Amino acid sequence: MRSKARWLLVAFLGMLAAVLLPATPASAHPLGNFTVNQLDALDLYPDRVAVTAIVDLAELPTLQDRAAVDSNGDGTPSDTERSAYAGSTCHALAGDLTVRVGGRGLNWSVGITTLDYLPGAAGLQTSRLTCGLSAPADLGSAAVLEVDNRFRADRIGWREMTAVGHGVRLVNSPLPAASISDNLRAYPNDLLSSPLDVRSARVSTEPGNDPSSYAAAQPGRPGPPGGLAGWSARAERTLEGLVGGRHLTPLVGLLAVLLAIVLGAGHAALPGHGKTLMAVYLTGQAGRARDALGVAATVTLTHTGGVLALGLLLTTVATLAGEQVLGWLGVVSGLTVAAVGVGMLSGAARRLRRRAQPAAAHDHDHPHGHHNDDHHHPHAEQHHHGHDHPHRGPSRLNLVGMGIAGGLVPSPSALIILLGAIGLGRTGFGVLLVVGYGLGMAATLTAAGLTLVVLRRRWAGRFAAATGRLAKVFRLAPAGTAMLVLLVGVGLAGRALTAIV
Amino acid sequence: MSTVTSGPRRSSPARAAVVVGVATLALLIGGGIVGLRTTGGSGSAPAAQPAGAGAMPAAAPNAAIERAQQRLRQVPGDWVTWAALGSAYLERARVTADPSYYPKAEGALDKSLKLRGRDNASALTGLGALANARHDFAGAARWAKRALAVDPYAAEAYGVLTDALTQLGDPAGATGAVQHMLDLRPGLSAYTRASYDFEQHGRVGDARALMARALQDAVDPADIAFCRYQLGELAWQEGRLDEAEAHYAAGRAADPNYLPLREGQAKVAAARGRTDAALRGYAELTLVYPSPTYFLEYADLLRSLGRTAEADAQVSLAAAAQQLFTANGGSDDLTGSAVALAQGRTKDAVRLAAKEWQRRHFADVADALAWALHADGRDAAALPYARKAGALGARSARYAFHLGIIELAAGDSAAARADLSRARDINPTFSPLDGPVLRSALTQAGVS
Amino acid sequence: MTTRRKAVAATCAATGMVLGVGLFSLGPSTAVASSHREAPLVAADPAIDNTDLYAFSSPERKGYVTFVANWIPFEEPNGGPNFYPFATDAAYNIYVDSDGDAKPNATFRFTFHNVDRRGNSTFLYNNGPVTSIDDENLLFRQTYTLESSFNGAPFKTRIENAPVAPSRVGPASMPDYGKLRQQATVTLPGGWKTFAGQADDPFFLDLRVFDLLYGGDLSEVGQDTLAGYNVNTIALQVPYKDVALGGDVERNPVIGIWTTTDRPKVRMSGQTAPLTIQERVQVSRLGNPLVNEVVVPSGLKDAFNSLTPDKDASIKQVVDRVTNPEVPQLIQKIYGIEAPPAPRNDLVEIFLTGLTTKANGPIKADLNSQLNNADVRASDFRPSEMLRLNLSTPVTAQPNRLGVLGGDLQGFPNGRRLTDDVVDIELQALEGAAQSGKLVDALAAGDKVNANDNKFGGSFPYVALPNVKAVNNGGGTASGSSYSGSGDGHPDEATAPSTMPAAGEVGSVDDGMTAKMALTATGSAGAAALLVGGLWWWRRRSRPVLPVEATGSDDTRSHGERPDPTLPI
Repeated sequence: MRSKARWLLVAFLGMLAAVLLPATPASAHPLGNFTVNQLDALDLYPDRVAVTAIVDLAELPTLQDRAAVDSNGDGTPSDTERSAYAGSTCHALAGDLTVRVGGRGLNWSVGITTLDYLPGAAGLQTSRLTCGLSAPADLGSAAVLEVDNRFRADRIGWREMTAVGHGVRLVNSPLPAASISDNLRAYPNDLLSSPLDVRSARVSTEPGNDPSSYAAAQPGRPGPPGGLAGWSARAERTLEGLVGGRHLTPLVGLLAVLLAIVLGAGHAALPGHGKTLMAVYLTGQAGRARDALGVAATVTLTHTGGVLALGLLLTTVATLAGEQVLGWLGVVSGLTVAAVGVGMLSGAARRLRRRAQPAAAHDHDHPHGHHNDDHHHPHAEQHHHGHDHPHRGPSRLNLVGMGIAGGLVPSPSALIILLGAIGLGRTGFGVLLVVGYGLGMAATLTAAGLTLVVLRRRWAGRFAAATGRLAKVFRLAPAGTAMLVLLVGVGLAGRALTAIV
Repeated sequence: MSTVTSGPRRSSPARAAVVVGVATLALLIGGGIVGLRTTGGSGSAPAAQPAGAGAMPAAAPNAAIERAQQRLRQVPGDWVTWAALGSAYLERARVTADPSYYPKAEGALDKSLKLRGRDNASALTGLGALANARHDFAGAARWAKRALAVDPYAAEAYGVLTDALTQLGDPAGATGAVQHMLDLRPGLSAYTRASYDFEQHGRVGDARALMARALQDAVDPADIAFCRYQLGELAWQEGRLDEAEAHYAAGRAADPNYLPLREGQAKVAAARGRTDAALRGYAELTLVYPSPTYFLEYADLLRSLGRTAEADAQVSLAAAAQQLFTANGGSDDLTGSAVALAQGRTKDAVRLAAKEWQRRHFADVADALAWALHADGRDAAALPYARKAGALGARSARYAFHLGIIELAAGDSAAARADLSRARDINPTFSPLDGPVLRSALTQAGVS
Repeated sequence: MTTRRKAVAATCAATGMVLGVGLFSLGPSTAVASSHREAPLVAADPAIDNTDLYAFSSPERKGYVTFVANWIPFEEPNGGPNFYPFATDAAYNIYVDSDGDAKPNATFRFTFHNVDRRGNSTFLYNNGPVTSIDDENLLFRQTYTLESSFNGAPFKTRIENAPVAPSRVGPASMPDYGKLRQQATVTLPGGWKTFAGQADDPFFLDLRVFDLLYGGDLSEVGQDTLAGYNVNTIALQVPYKDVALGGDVERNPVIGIWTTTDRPKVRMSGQTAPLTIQERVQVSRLGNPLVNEVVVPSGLKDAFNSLTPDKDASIKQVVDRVTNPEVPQLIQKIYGIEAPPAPRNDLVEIFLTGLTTKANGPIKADLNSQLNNADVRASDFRPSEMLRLNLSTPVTAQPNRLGVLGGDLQGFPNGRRLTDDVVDIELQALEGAAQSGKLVDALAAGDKVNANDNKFGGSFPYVALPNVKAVNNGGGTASGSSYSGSGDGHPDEATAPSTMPAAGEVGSVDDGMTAKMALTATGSAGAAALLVGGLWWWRRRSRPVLPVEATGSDDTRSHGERPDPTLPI
């Protein structure tokens, strides 16, 4: 009775909290109800310049523009009215956005334009105008771009510009590669920065690749990351700050390496790098501690080597585009995993067939339950092994394969740190940090692998006495896990392929 | 498993651990060596210039803000600069009308107070100024008094106190506070507040002299613009349109982005009959800064030109703006009353004005309440409030007009004649909508 | 309390908290209303801001004392369009107290007037090269009037409409600024020399030293924060006899000096025009350098600016701060250097009375207190904060930047020369070096800025010409150039801390990979489950079902047949 009452109470308080804690400010326009905020995202190609201009209008400007949108005056802006308004406003925006390359202004052609309404505060709406502009431009040689946005220049609001080069390298770009407001969706709330008011900029370009394009190609976040991912993001930024910092004292250098180790450990803790697969594999194939170590080491070595190789490649080979390389690496990684899965499957199938034969029908793919590996097994000789022992636990080849697959796709954060350090002339330091990063990863992966192995051993005993259907299922487990691995590999490869194409 | 591997296997984890440990140590030492090599160098790092390279040159307050932000990144414990940054954000909010600076100001001031709670007069003053901006005048007075308890020589705290007491309807307290401010640090902030105090007491000449002195001391373009606007207003309120126009124009030359100047120029244009310019001015103003007050002024102009539909549209925008303000947690029943009145909701107008009057006995509130009661047909109740509005002696055509009309409706023609004539003498063009009403009322009352 | 009551109490507390939080967070955050007048509160008022005061016996002109007072800190070279004029509604004063009663015996008052020929047509300072101080190309200039008053007598005008050296616009506009400086240096009857105008800021220090007060330490010092900036300078050179008590420098060699800015007082009730000269409001004050940073905490800064020296001894908080300063405690906490025990009467001697044996202070030296003037009555003496100079101390040929602490008796705190490193001296003094006579080794480096970026001149007004090169390139910090070269200021290196380009979006990948990984895993798991099920079913159908334990022996502990105990994931 008392516990029930307690639960009721908790529920009531929860409701009260939900009611009282204000919900409206969350949906109110964060920058004030009369701002007109703009983002001009520049994409620079060797032969053209593309601009995605986004205008985020708060509640009052949306209301004020409504009369202009609703041309037939019926009170609701229909789809055709909206698209017509979007088109005409984007044309006006194109007229007010001047980009000069080498002193010559570009002529925009307006592509896709949309006007969307979103709910805002006090029952009103905010609106979001997106314009896709593009103009031919010659960025095949070194050039200087001057951007000047005079659209609604007298309106109060956030003004942001970003620039990313595709096949074009930005030299000391004053503009970031990605929007810090998540494309005008989530305005940062930093006490130590004023709202952005970037109305013009001067960008120098050179032909080549641009690491920023690689970073910017990653999918955007819907909101500030929380928990472990958020902490990693902050730690990464700190590390970048340390790499680029002016005052690199010995203590700072030490701390940076430490931070890289910790970051690597954290990064490996997040999903990815084949931990799931390693788990599947180790448990499905009766892995041992040494296997876990082996996989961890392979992953780390592959990852570190991959980052170093890729980083050095990207900075030396001008025509290499970062996203493309990553995409292909993803494909290769997926195929490797699939290959390992095929190998596992054939092994499992073989074992199943052999089990069907009563003669040497026993299975060695088990650690003998609570008999651990140190235990003397005099029966090893007494077994009538009509068949060969393909392996004790997972084969080394498979392990290596898993390791390589897991480490093949380098972590973007490590890559960016290295590229940034190279760009700042601190190559050695960057390499040091990447190695430290790898060490951290190795530590986590080893720990994870060892934990899995220990866990499996503990629980294996419990299922030793399983009978009936359960036993059959368990017998099929190696095949099942092999199928899983194969599927995942295929999936990875497929995803990477779609990303490239 | 054979025994062969068991032995080494037992020690191999240890060996592995040793190897790993040595590797880590090597890495760390490597990091340290790198650090040693680069200390003392100026760092060949190319600076990523703050976003805005090539952007419009920063005005002085912007530069001060950036310096403070930079400083705080390096020395986050500097509570003095946190408080200064908070106050600077507040000034920017006031000048640019960009409300996103308010939470920043609050955050910075809170941070300063958190770092130093015991004798931090500047943070307390800043929080008082923020309260004033949010119309929490009682709260602002409290903050200011706390600041003065900590530092009796803090001139700015007296400034906050002056503003709060003025709006709360405590004229004696406000005058005392501004005198203290003048005795501690005569300068632009003190002069402007003293000028306002004079203006409210009807001492227009003194108000003008002090505002001119403030203008002399103004260094920031926004401060110059502010002083010019106030001088323009002082001229406008006396019906001296040429002088008003000159001041507004000079203000715009100093700082084209200072928004109230546009309102000044638009209303002068309307008074001169340059309706196109006036309409354009109001249209631009309300697009950039859609405050309910500006919407209502625009609506009045439109209505006076017979464009009722457009006027109603502006009034509904005013209502939306006020709605948003309230939804965001703000409370300004004075404006709410004006909006309600413009929409014809007289009962709401009375209710809101009465609520505001309960909070503060300020002249504008008395006037609003009187006018709302009159619109609601309760002229007998309106009369005392209309008289209270002018009790301090402010020379306001609007107050006189309202009083005159109410007296007329209440049947006191003699007094009405006197007050309506007074309104005309002060500024016959005080409102495009009410100006004609004033003229006809004068004729009705038998005054040529 | 019974469990039930506890539960009730907990509930009430929780509800209260929830309600409180809910209501509290309803404060307006993005709201703005404009229906009441908002005047500037913190308005920039640099023209009245005292930055430094120097007082020293003129090295090349025997028998004359020089006062150099500066205003308006952090003047950026090329700071158009209004540059840095002196305020015209304020008076700039230099006071001298020769009898120790903390009231001025000599007052020198400078007031400024604008001569603005620009009208409304232009904001430009000049419309062509300015080759002399009365060149008609100089559209905006200022002049000043110097008045003096001795021992309460009415003010006498010494010079009217003297030229102010203009703000240095640049080499194109002012090709020979030295000439302009020369023309602005005026010699008056009686041997007086005056100068007013822009100059290089002679102060040199790393302001980060004072981060000590905010949790920082002395590790990051060595850059002259003020390098490259200019100030507005007023310099005055007068014979000893005009400032010494009774005109007798032999008997009364010690004078106290301070400088203030004041504005007329305004009355809300009664008259508003400035009344008599006495009715003025002091808005800024300076005597010894860095008193506001080192001795008087910011909480008392306003008080210090408003008070006249004769009130200092009566303000307990000010005296407390001198006798128990904050900086040594911080240094002790951070560096472990023992702070000398309070009350710090040695600091009282240095800052409030001058070094003398006659005030029962711990530093037994007769150097620069008015008490050592023969004609001073000890009963009239008041401790007060001011710069004290002994005019009879001989001029040192090779000045030591550590002044008295370095064995150079002509240096600070005995007056202040342009080359004295007051930060280091004061740091040492705070740690008790003056009393012990020994420098504190750990602080020997001080702020690691030992000299000004520009060389001083050998004759009046001694300060270097203003810098021309901009210090900050577009929205920079207050820290100045990291170069300490000679000549004009150098442009600063990039001031923003370096960040890597295209940083800030790195966090996105992991989340993206997380989501995709999760999807892939789920999809695969589902497919795998189907497959396993299918396989099992297929096996059931196509193979004879063998009892699993059939091949097992009785020995359950043996290696015999047993089902694969491995776990699927």
